[in-house]
Amino acid sequence: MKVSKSLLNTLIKECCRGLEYDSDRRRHTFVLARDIQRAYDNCRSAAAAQGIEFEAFDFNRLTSAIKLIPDAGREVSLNYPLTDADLLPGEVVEIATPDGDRRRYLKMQALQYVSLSTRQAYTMPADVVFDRGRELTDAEGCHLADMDTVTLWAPDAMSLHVDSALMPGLARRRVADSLWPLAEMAAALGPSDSGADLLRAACDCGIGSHTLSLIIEAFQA
Amino acid sequence: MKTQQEIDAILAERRQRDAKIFYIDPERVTAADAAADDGIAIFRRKKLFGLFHAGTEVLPCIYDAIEPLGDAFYLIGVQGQQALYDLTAGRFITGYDVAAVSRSAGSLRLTGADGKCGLLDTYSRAMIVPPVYDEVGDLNYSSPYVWVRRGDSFHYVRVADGCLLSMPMLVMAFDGGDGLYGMRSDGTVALFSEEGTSLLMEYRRRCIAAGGRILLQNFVRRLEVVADVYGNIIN
Repeated sequence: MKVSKSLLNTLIKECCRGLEYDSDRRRHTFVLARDIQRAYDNCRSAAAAQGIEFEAFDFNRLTSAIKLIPDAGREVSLNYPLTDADLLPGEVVEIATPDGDRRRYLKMQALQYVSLSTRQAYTMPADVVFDRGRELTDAEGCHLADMDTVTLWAPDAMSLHVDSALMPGLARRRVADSLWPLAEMAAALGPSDSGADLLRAACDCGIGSHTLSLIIEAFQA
Repeated sequence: MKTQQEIDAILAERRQRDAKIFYIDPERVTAADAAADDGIAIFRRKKLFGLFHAGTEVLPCIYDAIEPLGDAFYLIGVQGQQALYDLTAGRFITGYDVAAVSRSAGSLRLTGADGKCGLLDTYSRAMIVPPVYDEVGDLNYSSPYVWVRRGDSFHYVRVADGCLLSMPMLVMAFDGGDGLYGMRSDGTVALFSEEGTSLLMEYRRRCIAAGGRILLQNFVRRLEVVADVYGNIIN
């Protein structure tokens, strides 16, 4: 199925209810439409209006991609040493240690990172450099990791489409200097709370669904 | 379409005829460049047009049409074919193979009879992009480059010396930026060196300095894209 961007936006809006609490995952996530048959029928009609065949296989692929957003991403290898200034708040540095362990650090603001595996916050030294062969320490000199390889964990295509469909205006927003207010908002969100405000706040911070999902994962569960 | 020799022969014959009717005063048709009002005027003698400057003949009345383009450039027509004349330099700067000329910021956009496009800088009066490309971007004095398209691929031309900078399989290029930005076939944008190498870290630094987004525009295509730090188009 080859679709236009506007059709894909329509399909995502049909399939995805937005950011809501998922009792299975026990946190807010991008949940699928309740009436999945109706969503499928609407998707087929929308695609048919543009002369595009839309089958169950396409629908399943689309809904799987939406469900996978919190875990999805793509590795980006830059092969350059990265200083703190080379990273935006919301970016994730993935470090592979010599023993094969992988650790992801989400940049919250200048020099402040959260480990996505331990959910612990770290302040890095002003001269921190993420580069293979170096040792990563925090500002107090505590050893965090030996860096065998350093990559970035970037949003995948579906996250970008979800941003486009559910976070209008995101492209025009500057990325905020600090994501701590967003993290606090995510942490305060209860199971009965709608995620609409958090989604709006993320959009205002210039943060897309990929980073927002990681923040929720780190601070809500 | 007539060859340059055929046009030259027609003009030579007309020149001889014009010399024989020297006693008929040419009739002033219009101020050639009314805004400038610097004494340049189009005259007509027996249905054919010429160009005069302060009463002195610059081009004899042997042309079928003379169209002022501004900045002392004129489109000269002979038997349905057109050439570009630079009054300041006092010479034709193209052959009679110009199909259309349009003004854009600081430049004249030329389309040849074969459909190929070029760009002439009206300030330096130089042909910065020869009319050999399928499409040409807008000249922008804030950018040292202008994009060109050949077939499906976009490249850049360095304005200073007209050097073609071949880019690796770009499916889109952008106007007026502070560098060579292009869209690759995978739909991501990147910044390139003049040698066509992707400058990942420089792009990243520029994007971060701009607040995490880079706005790129193609004025000719009326296209505006916003890209994130990874080069993903997010609008």
